[in-house]
Amino acid sequence: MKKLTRRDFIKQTAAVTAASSVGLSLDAQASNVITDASKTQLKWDKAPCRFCGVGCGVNVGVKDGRVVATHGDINAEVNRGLNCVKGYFLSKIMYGEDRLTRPLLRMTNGKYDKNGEFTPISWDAAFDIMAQKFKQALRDKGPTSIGMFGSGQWTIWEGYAAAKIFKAGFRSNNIDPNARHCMASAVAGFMRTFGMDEPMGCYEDIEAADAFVLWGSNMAEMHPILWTRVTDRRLSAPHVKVAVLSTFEHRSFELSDNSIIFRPQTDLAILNYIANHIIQTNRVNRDFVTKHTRFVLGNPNIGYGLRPDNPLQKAAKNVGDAGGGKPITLDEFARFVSQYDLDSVAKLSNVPKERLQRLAEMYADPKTKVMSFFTMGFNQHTRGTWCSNLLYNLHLLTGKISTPGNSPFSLTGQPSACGTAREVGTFAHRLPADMLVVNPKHREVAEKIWQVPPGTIPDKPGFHAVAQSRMLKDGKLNVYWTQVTNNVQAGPNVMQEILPGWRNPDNFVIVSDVYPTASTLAADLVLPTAMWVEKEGAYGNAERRTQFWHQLVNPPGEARSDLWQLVEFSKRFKMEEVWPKELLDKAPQWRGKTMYDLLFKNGVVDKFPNNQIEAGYANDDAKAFGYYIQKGLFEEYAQFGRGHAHDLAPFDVYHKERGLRWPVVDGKETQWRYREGYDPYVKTGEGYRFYGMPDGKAVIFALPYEPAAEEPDKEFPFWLSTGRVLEHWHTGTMTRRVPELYRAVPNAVCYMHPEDAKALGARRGEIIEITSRRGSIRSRVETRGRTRPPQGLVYIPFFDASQLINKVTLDATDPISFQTDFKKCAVKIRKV
Amino acid sequence: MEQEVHIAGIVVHSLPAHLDNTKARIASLPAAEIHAASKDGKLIVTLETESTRRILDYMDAIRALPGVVDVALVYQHAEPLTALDQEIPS
Repeated sequence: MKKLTRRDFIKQTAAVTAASSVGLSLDAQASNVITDASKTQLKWDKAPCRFCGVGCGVNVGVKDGRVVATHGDINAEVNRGLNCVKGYFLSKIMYGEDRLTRPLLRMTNGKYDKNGEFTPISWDAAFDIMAQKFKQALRDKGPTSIGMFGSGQWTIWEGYAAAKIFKAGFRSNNIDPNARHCMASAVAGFMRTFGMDEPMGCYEDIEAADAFVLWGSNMAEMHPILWTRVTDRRLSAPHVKVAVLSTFEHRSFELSDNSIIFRPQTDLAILNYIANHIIQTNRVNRDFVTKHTRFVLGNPNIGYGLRPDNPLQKAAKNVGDAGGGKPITLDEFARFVSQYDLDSVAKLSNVPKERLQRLAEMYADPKTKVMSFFTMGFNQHTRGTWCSNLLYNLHLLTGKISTPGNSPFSLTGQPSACGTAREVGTFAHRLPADMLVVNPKHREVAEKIWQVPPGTIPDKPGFHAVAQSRMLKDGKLNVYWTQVTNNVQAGPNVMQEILPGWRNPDNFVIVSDVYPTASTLAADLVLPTAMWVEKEGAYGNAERRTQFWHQLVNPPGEARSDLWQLVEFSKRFKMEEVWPKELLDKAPQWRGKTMYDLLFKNGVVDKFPNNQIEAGYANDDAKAFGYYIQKGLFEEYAQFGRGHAHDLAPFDVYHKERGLRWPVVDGKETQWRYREGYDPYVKTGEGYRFYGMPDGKAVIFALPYEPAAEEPDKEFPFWLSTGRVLEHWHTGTMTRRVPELYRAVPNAVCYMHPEDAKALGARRGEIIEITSRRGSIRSRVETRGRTRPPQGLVYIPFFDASQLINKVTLDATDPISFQTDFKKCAVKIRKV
Repeated sequence: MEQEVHIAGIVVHSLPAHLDNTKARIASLPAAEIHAASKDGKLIVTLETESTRRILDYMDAIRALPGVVDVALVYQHAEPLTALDQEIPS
């Protein structure tokens, strides 16, 4: 008989696992192998995927202290055993050859020198120089001169610790996450319409919907597991239809029943046309609208979030009150949208009338349950907040919301954009649980939970992401720490607005990361960081699901988690060095103590001993501090939301569950918010209640179409759009470390229409130069493949550090959300 | 670097009308093995190659077949050849 090898068993395991994910069973002998650890020599544990905001559950297989295998978790409701191709990188991303393993400081002759060479130093020496720079800035200019740029890839407790250190410890609101580039418009849209962040529905809406509309979202490539669920729904129920809107054709169009390529920025007009169509055909759900909504005319002409001396800003009337508006009636709203008739919108958007009509009917038909998805096409938009508001209008006018299958749904790009960046409140203007730094009552709540005296938290928003870059350049922000993000590559207008600030001799920039990036290269101090299952962590996905994982392997070399870095660093500050005398007089018990004592040894964060860590798991962070710090931070943080419609379950529950969707009340998660029978915060008889607003009513906004900040003209005749490709996530920091993949998609290309290429005299693969008013890069022409722009528009992905497309992009932002529009600027192209 | 073996378990979703054709084409790939098929067009396939890239190439190639609407990864494994060729004591 042939001897069996581990390979045979693992192959059988692969087949059995794949079969069980779709409910098929293989023969009995094969089914046994999966549980037989002695034969595969693997130890399996659960974790959420590291990559996108969908939040798939994976099982992670460890052999000899190394992750060697992963598979979709059959018990995870999100992905039900499936995984997308990005899952392929999970076991490889930790093991790139150039992993950072020691702190590196720019030095000359043994001393820090901004123009010196990167030299390995100890953690102690790294914190010495950091503390020296922070203290000097605090002494010279105060807390507005220090800042932090964080991430939607931070774990929940990392984001929480960072926000607490900055807002309560240093008393600086200059902390903002990279989610500002990614989700800020969705946040502002939710807050304006509902008074509360994040989707009301959940992924189960997919199986209940009759129609899907993709507004600026390429789900097939960016959120493949949800796309699999949409595909299953579409193919198993023949009446289900899919409409896809974009400014160029992508892979999601393959499933489309109504394909709509529109002129950039005219999505605003299309949304208003649909509202007009609903009203004109008398399909407004009057009962719902009367009971649960009110109408507001939003301020128009709000500028483009550019520097104040930009002519576009000077010309804009409502720069000072971009989010303002005044109450109106349904009739006034109807008159406002009546100008968006079929003929004029078809002309403006270049979309055939018949397609616009079919799209409008999806929303108008009372029998069709409709789910609308949106991501970066909406969010990275100088009117991104308006896009969200105008989409909610459609769901509110028809009452198609908060019930299974009726769901406007914001997809997220990062694994904890929701759970950390948004819910924890790591934005410059926010506190945990949707609270705001400008609201005195909110500050009072936070100061009470944090056990700090009244007046500790500054009452003005700090610098948001783009403002941080500008303030570094202008020398007003001088010490800057970034974690889990790569802004020198991902941020807009790099050469004019980002690099000059990082290399400004007055400034000191610290970058914590796992690999060398464009940002570590531009930094002064680089800190080596532990990632994913090298630490205990928690993420929150796009459907409000909070998920935990244990530390499963050890980080390499001296790499430490972001949490350890933050908390350990806080020990370097005596309270006298960060707080003024008047504040310390209110809390004299902190005299002579450190910021660490104040923020973490406070009887709450240090409450849980290490013997509460589940047996069999390492926890480097807890070991370092001597208590179960993740549990303490989580339980302190959870105080913000419990009883306030952001309820989280007890810490230990999440290590057992495949995630739970908040609010979790009496042990039960919530699938549909704002709807009686599903949401414990809606009382019997209310039907619906949008309780984020004091009057319980969601807002329907009248907002106009306004042109983009920069549109093509004679000199710069092309639209430029940027984004991702499936194989490389975000800036490629992790995925480009997989050598086979690097060879597969080595460099970014410029996708363009074959006729445009022909007119330039450039053939496929030839080098072209793409130039905007800000900078230029070179790339190669690509006229085939799955990204197919219309004439007059080109698309270049942003993963490639050798082609920094953000030298070309414009740092125009949405004036309400301050999120950058990476999707629209004007360029000229020539063959090189 | 020591040679690695990459093993993947994937689900291929084919339109039922194309199922026979899809099966025949996948069966012709030397790295692929079909383990089961469902009536609604889902195939259980394992791939075995020497690199991530080859696995992804195969998944791309299968995705491009006529009638294939989706290819999902379920299981992924990579180890050095010597570790995988260890015999299992029976």
